[in-house]
Amino acid sequence: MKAVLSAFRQFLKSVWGDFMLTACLVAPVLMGLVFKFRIPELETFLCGYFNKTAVLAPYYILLDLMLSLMTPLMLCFSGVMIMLEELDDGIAKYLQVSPLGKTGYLFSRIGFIAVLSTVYNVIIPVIFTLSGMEITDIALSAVLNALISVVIGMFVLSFAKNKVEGMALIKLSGFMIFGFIAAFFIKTPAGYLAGVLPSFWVGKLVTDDNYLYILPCLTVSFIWIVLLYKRFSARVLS
Amino acid sequence: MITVNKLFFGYTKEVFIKDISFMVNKGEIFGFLGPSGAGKSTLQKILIGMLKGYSGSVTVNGLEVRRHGNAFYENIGIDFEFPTLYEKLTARQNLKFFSSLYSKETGNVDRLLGTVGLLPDADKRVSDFSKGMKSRLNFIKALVHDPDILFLDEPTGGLDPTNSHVMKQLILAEKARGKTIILTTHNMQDAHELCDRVAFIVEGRLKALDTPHNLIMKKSAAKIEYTYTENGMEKNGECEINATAADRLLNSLIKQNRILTIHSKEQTLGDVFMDITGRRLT
Repeated sequence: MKAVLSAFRQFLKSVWGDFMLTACLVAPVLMGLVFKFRIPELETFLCGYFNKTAVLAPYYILLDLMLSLMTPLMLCFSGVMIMLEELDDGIAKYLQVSPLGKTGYLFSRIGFIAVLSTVYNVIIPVIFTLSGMEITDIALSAVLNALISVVIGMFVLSFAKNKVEGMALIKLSGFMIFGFIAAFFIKTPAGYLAGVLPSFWVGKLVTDDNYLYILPCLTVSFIWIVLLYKRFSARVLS
Repeated sequence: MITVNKLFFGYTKEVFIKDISFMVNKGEIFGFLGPSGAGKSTLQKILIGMLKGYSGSVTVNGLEVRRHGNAFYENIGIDFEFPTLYEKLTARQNLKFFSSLYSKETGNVDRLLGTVGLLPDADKRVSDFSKGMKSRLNFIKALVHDPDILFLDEPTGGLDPTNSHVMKQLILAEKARGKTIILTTHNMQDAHELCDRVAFIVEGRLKALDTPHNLIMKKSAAKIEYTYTENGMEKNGECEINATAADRLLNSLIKQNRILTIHSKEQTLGDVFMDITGRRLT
C-alpha cells in the first residue's frame, strides 16, 4: 500500500506540475459554477424574451448529466497524459518491476482516477445541480461514470502511441459520454442503438428514473473493458 | 542465488527459449552474451518476473519467479538499457520517489549521488542531464533499496569511452560490495572485463557457459604475428604460439635480425563466440 500511495502522490505532483492537466482537474468545478449561476440567468432572459414560462428548464437534467459525464472525461485526460508520458519514458515498465507491481501501477493511475471521478461526481452535482437530481441518482451515476472513466482511459491508452495521439483520442472518445443525449431525445427503439455506449444507460437511469438500467450499463462497460483488455495489456503491461 | 532448470518459453506457440539451465552464485557477475534477438532480454525478463508463461523452473533468491508477489522486487535492482526517469524532476526528486516505493530502509540519496559524481547536479532537472549523467543516475536508481541482485541491461550502451569506464568501475564496486550481478550485453570487451562467467545465447539456446578466460583458452591457441622485409617489400608472417620452434621462416628471420615487428595475438571472446556459435555479435 505504501508503494501505491507513493505512486499516487507522484501522479498528483505530475498533474500539478502541468498547467493544462491541473486545469482539467478544476474544469468540472468551473463548469459547474457557470451552469449553476449563468444558466438560470440565461433562462430568465430567454423566458422574458420569448414570453414563455420555461425555455431551458426542461433540459436542466441534460445539463446535469453533461456536467457529471464531463468529469470522468476531464480526469481521464489528466491520467492518460501522465501514463502516456510514463510509457514513453519507460517509467511504467520500471514501476511494474518494483514493489508497486502491475496491479499497483494500474490502481495508482486508473484506479485512483475512478475513485477521484466518483468523489467529484458526488460533490459537483450535489452543489451545482440545476434540476435538483436526487442523491440516489447522483450516487449511482457517480459510480457508473467512474466505470466509464476506466473504459475511456483503457480506450485511449490502448490506441495512442504518444501524447499527441492521446490528446486526439481523448477528444474522439468524447463520443463515449454523449450516449445520454440519445437516451433523452430518441424515444423510438432506434435509440437503443446508442446502447453500446455506457453513458446511454446512465441517461436512461436518470431520465426514466429506473434503477434496472444499472445492469445494462455495467454489462456494456464490462464488455468494453474485456474487448480492450488484450490490446491495453500489450501496450501498458508488457 | 539464481537457478534456472530446463527453461522453455515462447511468445507464441513456437518455442523461443529452448532448454536453458544454469546457476548464478552469490557475489558473481554473470553475463548473457548474444546478438540482437538471441533471447538475452527475454531471459532477463523471465528472471525479473515480467514473463511468467514459461515451463521449467526459475528460482531467484529461493523464490520460484512465476509465483512471486511484489515483495520479490524488494531485493532486486533493475537497470534497463534506456534511462527510465522523470525528466521534469530533479535527480534528487527522482531518487527520493523511487526509493519511497520500497518498504525496507533505503540508501542515503545524497551518498548515492556522490558515488557517481552527481551530487553537484542533484537539484538539476533530469531533462538537462547529458546521456552519461542519465545513465549514472539510472544505475544508482537501481541501488536505492540496496538490493542483493542487480540486473543490468547493456549498461554501457551508447556511452562514450570515459562514461563507459566510469560505469564499469561502478559495476565492479557493487560486486566488491557482495552483489550478484546479471549483465546482458553484446559488448564482448565489457563482458571480458566485468564477468566472472558468461553464457553465449544464440537463437534461444545456451551455446556455451564458462569463465571468459576458460572459453578463450579452450579454443585454438594464440598466434604470433610478425612483419619483415624481403626485396625491399614489407611482408607478414603468422604462426601458432605453441609452434614457433617449427616456423623455419620466423627462426631464420630472428637469426638474421630481419624482424620489423612481432607480437602475440590472443583469441578474443568475440573470436571464441564466433567459433562456437558461427555468429557475429553485431
